[in-house]
Amino acid sequence: MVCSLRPVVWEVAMRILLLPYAIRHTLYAILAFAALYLLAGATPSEGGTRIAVLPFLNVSGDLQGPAFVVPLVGPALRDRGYEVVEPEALEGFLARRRVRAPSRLGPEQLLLLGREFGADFALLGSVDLFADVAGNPQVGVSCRLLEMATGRLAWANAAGFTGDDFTGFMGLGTVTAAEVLAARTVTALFQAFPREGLQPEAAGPPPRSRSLARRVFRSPRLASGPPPRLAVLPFENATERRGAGLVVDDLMLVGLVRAGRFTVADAGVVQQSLLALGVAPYGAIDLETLRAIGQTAGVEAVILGRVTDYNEGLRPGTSSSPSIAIEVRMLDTQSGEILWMGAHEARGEDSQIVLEFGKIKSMVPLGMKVISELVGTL
Amino acid sequence: MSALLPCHAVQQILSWRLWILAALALGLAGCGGMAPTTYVHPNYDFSRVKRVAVLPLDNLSTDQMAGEKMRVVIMTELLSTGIVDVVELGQVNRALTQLNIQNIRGMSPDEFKRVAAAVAAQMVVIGSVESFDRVQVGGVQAPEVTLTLRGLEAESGLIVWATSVTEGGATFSARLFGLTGDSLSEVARRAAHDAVVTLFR
Repeated sequence: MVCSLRPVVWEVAMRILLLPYAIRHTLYAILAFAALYLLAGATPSEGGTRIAVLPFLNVSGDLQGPAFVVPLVGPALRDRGYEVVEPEALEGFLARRRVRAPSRLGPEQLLLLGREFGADFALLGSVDLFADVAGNPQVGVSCRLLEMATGRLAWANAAGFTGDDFTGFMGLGTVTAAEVLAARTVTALFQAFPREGLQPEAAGPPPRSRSLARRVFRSPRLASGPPPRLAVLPFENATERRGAGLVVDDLMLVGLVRAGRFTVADAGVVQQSLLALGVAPYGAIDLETLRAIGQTAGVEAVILGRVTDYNEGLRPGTSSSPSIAIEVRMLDTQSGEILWMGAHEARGEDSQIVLEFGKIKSMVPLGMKVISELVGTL
Repeated sequence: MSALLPCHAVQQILSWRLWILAALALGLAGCGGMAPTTYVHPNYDFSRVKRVAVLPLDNLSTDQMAGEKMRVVIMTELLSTGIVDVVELGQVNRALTQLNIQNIRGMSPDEFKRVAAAVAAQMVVIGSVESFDRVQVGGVQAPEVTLTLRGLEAESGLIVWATSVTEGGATFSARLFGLTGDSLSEVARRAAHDAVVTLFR
C-alpha cells in the first residue's frame, strides 16, 4: 500500500512545485503553522471555555483590597487561554437578581448566570488580607472555580504574601508597593490553574503531622466507608478580627478541594440551604437542623468549628508574626455522630529554621498550612 | 583516658555519669505535672456508659474562652478513647436552652436527668477550668492548665467520677533550665488526656 501511495505523493509534490510562487509559499506557511500548533500539544477547540469572574468578597477590612486584586484576575485567566466575562459585565445581572453575596451563588443562580453569559465556569473568591502598610504590604486571596451546569467545585486555591517574603540577600528585593505584591499574589494563585483544554492537576496528598494526629479524633467509620459528601458550615469567630470565620470557611473549602478525596458542596449551596431553612448555625448545631441541612444541601456530613486565634500581626501591640488556632469537627448529618474532631494552631515562626528562613509571614499561607495538616488527618 | 587512668577509676567515673543522667531523666520525666487526684464510685458499672454529654465548663481562668476551649479538647479526648460516644455540643446547648438552664453550677439532679434524657446520654460531665494561662517562672513563661471534672450518672445525678489535674506550670525543667516545653494547647490536651484516662482505668 505504501508502494502504491508513493507515486501519488510524488505527483502532488510535483504539482505543488508547478504552482505560482505566492500560492506555493502560502501553502508552506499554512503547513508549518499546523505542524507547530500540533507540536505545541494543543488541540483545536470549538469556541474557548468561558469563565465568569464574580466580584470578590472583601474580608480584608480594607476597602481598597478588591480594587488592587480583582482587575488582575481576568488577564491571568486569558493568559491560560480562557475567555473571561469581567465582574463589571455581571453587575446588571447581580442587581436584577438582587444577589447580595456574589461569592455565595446558589445552583439556580449559577445556571442562570451561565445561560445569560454563555459561561461554562464561575470564578468566585475573596480578598482575605489586604494591608497597604508602608514598607511591608500584605495581600491574601482565595478563590474557587465552579462548573455552572453542575455546581461542582472544579478547582480552588489560596495565596498570600507580605512584602518581606521577597527579601533576599542584604535586605534586597523587598516588595514595598501593594500593587506589585497583589500582582505576585495573583500570579502565585493561578500558577497551578490548568490551561484551556487541560484537566487540573492533583495537588497531592495533604501534609501529615504526627503530633497533630494525637490531638485529633477520627471515627473508624471514615476509614471503612467511602468518603462522605461534605459541606462546610460557618465557623464561629471567637477572635477580635472581623471576618476571621469567613476566611477560615473559604480556606477549609480550598483545603478539602485540594485534598482531592472529598466531594464538597460549595459555600453557595450551604448558604441557600441555610436561607431556605431559616437557620444560622454558628460553631455548633442541633440534630434537627443538622438533618435538615443534610437533606437540602444533599450532603452526608458537615464540617464546623471555631476560630479561637487569628492574628495577622498587623494590630499595634501584638506580635508581628501571624498566628492562628482553630477547632474543627465533622458531624454525620443523619445520626449527629462526631466523625472527626480536633484542634490545631500555628505561629509564623514555628517553621523558622534559622534567621528568617522558613518563617511564614503571611496569614493566608499559615492558615492553609494549619488546614491542610488538619485535613491530612482525615 | 583509659590509657592514663586505672580501670576501676574509669568505671567509677562512668557510674557517676550514669547517676547524673538518671537524675536528669527523672527530673525531666517529672516535668509533665502532678498525677491527677481522682475519685471513682466503687459500685458503679461504667460499662453502661455509652454516650456522654459534656456541659459547658465553669471558667475560673483569665482566658475568657478557656471553658469552651477545654470543653472541645475534653470531647476529643473522650472520643479518642474509642469507648464512648460524645454528644455534639450544639445538641447539648440546645437541650440546655430548651430546658431554660442558664446556671450549670446550680443544676438539680432532676435537671441533670432531663438534660441527659434530651440528648440520650448515660453520663453528664461538668467541671471547671481553674487555670489556663502562662505563668511566670523565673524569666520565662510556662503554660499551665488546671482542670476539674465530675461525671454524673444521668438517672440519679450522683457523682460517679471526679478528677482534678494540673499540667505544665512551674516544673522542674522550667525552674532549673528555663525550658517551658510544649505550647498551651498541647498542655491543655495532656491535662484533658490525663483526666479522661482516669475514667477508664
